[in-house]
Amino acid sequence: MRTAKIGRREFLRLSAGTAVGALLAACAPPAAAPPAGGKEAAAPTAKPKEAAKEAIKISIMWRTNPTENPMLEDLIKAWDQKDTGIKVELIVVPWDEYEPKLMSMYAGGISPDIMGTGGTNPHAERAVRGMVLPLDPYLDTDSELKNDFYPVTIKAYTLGGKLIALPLCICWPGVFINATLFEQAGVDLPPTDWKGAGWTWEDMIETARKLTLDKNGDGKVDQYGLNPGHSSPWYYTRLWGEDLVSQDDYASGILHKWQTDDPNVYDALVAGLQARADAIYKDEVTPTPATAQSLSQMGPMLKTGAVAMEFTGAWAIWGNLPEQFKFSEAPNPLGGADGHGTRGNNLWIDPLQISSQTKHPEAAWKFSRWMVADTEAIKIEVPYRSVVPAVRSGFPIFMEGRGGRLVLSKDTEAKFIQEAIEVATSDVPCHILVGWAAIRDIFRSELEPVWLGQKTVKEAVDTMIPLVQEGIQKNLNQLGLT
Amino acid sequence: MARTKHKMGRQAKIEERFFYLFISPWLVGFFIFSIGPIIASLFFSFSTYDVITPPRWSGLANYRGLLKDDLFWQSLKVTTYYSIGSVILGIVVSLAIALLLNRNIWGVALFRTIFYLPSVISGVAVSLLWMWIFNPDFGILNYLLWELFHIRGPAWIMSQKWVVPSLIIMSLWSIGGGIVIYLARLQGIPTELYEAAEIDGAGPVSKLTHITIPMMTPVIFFNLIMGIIGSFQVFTQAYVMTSGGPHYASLFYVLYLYRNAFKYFRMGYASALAWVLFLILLALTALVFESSSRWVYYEGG
Repeated sequence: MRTAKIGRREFLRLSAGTAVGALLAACAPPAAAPPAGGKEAAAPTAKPKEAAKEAIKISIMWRTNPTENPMLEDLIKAWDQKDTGIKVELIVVPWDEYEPKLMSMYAGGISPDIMGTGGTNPHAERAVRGMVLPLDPYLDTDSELKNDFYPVTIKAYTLGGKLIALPLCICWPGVFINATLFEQAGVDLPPTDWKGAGWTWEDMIETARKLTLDKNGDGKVDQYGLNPGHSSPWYYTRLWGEDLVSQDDYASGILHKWQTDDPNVYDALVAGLQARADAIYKDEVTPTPATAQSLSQMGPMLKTGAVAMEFTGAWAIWGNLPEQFKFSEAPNPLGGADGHGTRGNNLWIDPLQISSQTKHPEAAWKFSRWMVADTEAIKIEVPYRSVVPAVRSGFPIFMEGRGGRLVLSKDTEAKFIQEAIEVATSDVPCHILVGWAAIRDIFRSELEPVWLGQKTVKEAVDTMIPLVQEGIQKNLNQLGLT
Repeated sequence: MARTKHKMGRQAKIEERFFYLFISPWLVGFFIFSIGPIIASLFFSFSTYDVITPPRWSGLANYRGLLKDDLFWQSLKVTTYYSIGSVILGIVVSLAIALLLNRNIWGVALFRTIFYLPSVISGVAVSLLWMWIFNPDFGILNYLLWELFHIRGPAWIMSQKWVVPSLIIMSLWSIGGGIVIYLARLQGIPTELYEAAEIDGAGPVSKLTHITIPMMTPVIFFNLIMGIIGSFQVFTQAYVMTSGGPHYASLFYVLYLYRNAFKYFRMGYASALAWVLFLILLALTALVFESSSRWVYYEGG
């Protein structure tokens, strides 16, 4: 048998060729579909206009979500039917892998053109690191769109004078209600007025007391009046009329400190958290963390039939549809002693951000604008989610699409949601403040013993504050902002 | 023995070249995707780096920061606790089960399959399953404790005291691999040893302690090394089930590292954590290797 002879030089060439070939094959983008005929393949790009039209491809990255992903697919299908010359690719990433994946893609220079709703959504963190394009140059030339946004959405994402994201939709806060349980217990539904003086924290606890029941008489509670989904110290401080974050920090988007050296802020923080702890251990209208975890493992809280009211965001509606019970909602309670605080006055605003690495900023803007404000796009989005479009022109479409799923009349519900948006002054800190990600795990962990009944609020707060301030400082050092 | 240099034949040389030719894609991948990142992480550990913006050299600042970081020490404490508990319990229980499965009884193949089966299920699914088992109100564990012994079970993963013991118990779920290795070794022990011992009047305990366990020491040694390395890298359970809580009671080392890298944008600090973990594991492995001459028995001497 003849044996092939390979010289040293040939061997080296072959080795290098194989390795590089394999590497290129692994790293190369998918090959374009081959042209139908050899002639066309050999022909030069004779029609530059058409070639350019075909060339624009952008991508949008979204979290894995059983309702949002079909929505995105429908949106892209509708977009493809238009003659825009822009093809949109959807990248879907699991919720908790979104940010690591995005960071890795960006570091590798292959960031998606549009960053959609992801995991923790640290929009400000992305902006301060230069990952996104400022969008005010686009919006400033589009007065129709600019005037259509709810002002609070633009204010929330204007950080350091620049618009860092294009608001897409709004999730409103509130107390979400299993009205069937109210009916069975003979308890009146709470008011729906965000601007009035009624429906205080005490009122909510009193209502919850009537709805906390041992139905089978075995000495154990079978039905809880209230599950407070919120546990953030930021939320309770605002309910009690103060704010951990200064107005300057909201405006710059960079957290410099908690304002707890102001005695009013400190007192509001302690009192607000104390009210939540009391709901578990003093008023006994709220499940303990262990029971709450058990209930949450069974499904959406209100759907379990073991909770009558959930103090959280409008995703409570989304999670409970299709409802098998009568469903209603009430405003956030007015916090503070005798209702001298606020109703929290926040929203959750999901925006789109355009990557600073995009090669097609115009195309990314066009698709984002369409998704945010076009009637056709909003009509596709509304049935999938209980979120209000960020543009005012989308609200009638939203209300039409909801079809009276609550026991409230459609007019009452429309007024309720509009008021929630009107009274809101901010988005939540994790979206709009650089540095919040670095301290969230600290305050969550420090408050756990309070929710477990192992520490007093004051003890936990006094330990928590220095740790939080240190965490903020570390973050500023990291960013070179000290 | 004097080292002799063999002159390779032409055929052998050709084969050697083909070997390198065919393995070269793997080698390139290994150097680019494994060695490269390892070296890069060493550099990052001496820098301030958030993945997005270029790293800035900061010398030993990250390592000095670790020494002053309470959460670093807490994560090390929690991980060491878990490692000691899960490795010892894993070795004892898997060896005991392997001994039982080594009996020549009816249906033993079925039992072997049953004991191995749990280890093929992925980490997240197992974590979700155990969240239900540990559920203080509706979990089967507390139900059985109450029904069988009238003991009111603890809050398991919701309790600062019980969360690590809970996860140690849960680690037994994946001992199937260890059982198979022990079983293979058990079946390789020469029967003459047992026959000789019986002639000398040895009982079952004596045979276990003087024949079986000494003969098993190379495998125990292997499982000990792998167990230490694996247990220090525990992540999924804490990530899915406890988020490091309650109150940092299950803040495992790798979870803390992950948070720094991908949640707090501190990749430089996370790289320093990774290198410290590497050095700890290297030291522990060296220690176990060093001790092995005193307790591991190799038939060949």
